[in-house]
Amino acid sequence: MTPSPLTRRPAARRLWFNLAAFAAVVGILYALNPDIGEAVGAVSIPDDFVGGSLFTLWKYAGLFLDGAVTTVVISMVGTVVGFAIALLLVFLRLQAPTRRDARAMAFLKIAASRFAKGYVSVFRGTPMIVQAAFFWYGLGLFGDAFVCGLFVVSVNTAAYIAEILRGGIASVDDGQREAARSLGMKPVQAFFAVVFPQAVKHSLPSIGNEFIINVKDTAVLSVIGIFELFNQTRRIAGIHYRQLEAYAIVAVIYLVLTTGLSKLLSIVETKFDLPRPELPSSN
Amino acid sequence: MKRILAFLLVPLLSLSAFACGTPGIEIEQDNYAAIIERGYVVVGLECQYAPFNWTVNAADRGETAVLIDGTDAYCDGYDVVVAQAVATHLGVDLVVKAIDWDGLIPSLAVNGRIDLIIAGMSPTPERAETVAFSAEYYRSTHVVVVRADSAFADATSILGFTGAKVVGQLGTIYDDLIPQMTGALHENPLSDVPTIVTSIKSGINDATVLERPVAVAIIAGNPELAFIDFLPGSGFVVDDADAAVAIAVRQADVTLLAAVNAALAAISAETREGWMLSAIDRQP
Repeated sequence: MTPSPLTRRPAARRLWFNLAAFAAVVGILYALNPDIGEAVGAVSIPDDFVGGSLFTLWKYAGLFLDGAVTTVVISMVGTVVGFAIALLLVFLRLQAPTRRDARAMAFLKIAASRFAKGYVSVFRGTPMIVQAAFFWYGLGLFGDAFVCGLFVVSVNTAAYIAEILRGGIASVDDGQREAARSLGMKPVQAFFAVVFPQAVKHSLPSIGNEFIINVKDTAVLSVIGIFELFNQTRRIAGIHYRQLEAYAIVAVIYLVLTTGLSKLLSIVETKFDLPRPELPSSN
Repeated sequence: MKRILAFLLVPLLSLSAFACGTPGIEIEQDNYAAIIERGYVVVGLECQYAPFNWTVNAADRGETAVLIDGTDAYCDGYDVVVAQAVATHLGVDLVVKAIDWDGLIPSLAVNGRIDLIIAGMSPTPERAETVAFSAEYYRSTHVVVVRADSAFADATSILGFTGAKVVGQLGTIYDDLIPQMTGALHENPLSDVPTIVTSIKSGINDATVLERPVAVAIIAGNPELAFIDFLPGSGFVVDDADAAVAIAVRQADVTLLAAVNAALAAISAETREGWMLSAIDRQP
């Protein structure tokens, strides 16, 4: 559906608006500290906030970038692997015994469903920071904090995505399954060829949201010593014992990452004609 | 059927991709021979406790800085210089890991992910129940950091902080010393020194207790703060174990401890002070 041309701001005007907003921000920064060039080239950190921030950003840009890359990689891999685990979980969750099943089979199916239900309860019902500390310091199964972090994000995200997928499957009209069955498909065929693809398609925007939520929530992995964006920022703050400047910068970096990624996702969603959700809140 | 199989295999394969890495070495035995044979010793520190240890860019690093394991950043400071001297004495390479204060002792004694803690840690009796400590490698006096314009900046005794909100770092000697400041309000401890500095600058707290070299480093980047030295008799009463900082090793690592002590014994008091002064000087 194309919106009426009257309700839409022309692209050129939007561009000018954005440029003006950018100029205003630069202007305010300049008014607060006219010696921008001096601040970034200073030998030691300038005393004022704006100068200190510019100095910190300029001097430690490489460290911030390392952290941002680690954060995005962990979030992305965690979401993809989480999705794969969620497929298994939702498969187990949907097992229900029928009258034709032997007693052992019925028992297995109930056990599988209960397991998936329990998994979702445990991983959605406990904070990720506790899960991270539990797997890293508590169990000590992993030799590498980064691998442990990927594991924690994956198993955590899996629980959320499994519920998204279950909702997606439930939201596919039963008429779809009935139509597939009436065409002669077996129940399994009807599920995998007709119901499930639609469920996944409708779940994709929410799964994209999980990715963006992960970009923010992986900050808790600093407890196990992964150098993602927030932990990197804590070290940078420790260099000059100046937290305010470092945290202000990292807030802007997170904002750029989340808005940028949700813009990217919304382009993909428009392309595939999917419903577009708002910027997600945290879970 | 093939599709169902694929449907099941994808998650299973991705799960097995997590097949665990190599955990730390045996914590119950003497690992000296294993460490020497491995060719490197792993040292844990915070990398946010200047001038003992701090983080630097690859571009700005001096000769003394060492790459932090798992990152592209470097760690420098007095602790790093001492760590390098110990590693050289052992005849092995130095690997440095940045670990939060709370995680240092578990990483050494429980997980075996590091071999030594060289992080400005005082050898208190409580910690000595879990880990073994070397001889001291630095000794310092304790000072109080305040805002330069605060009413407490003129205090000359630790008893001059009546009504001041004083905060210390969680699990450190600093927090344990605050009760000596009779009349001061002992606030809940915070996790690291940069956070404490911020809380004093923003007015949430009024003062904190720190070692002198750390206070010097803080004032360098924060001119609105000041620290107070106390004359003998009006300062903190500190146990011998608390005034010193020492290297922590696993209790089973008896041979390693002896080697570390031999390495420290080879460093004269003047050399130590010189290292600390140049660390304060290098600190950005």
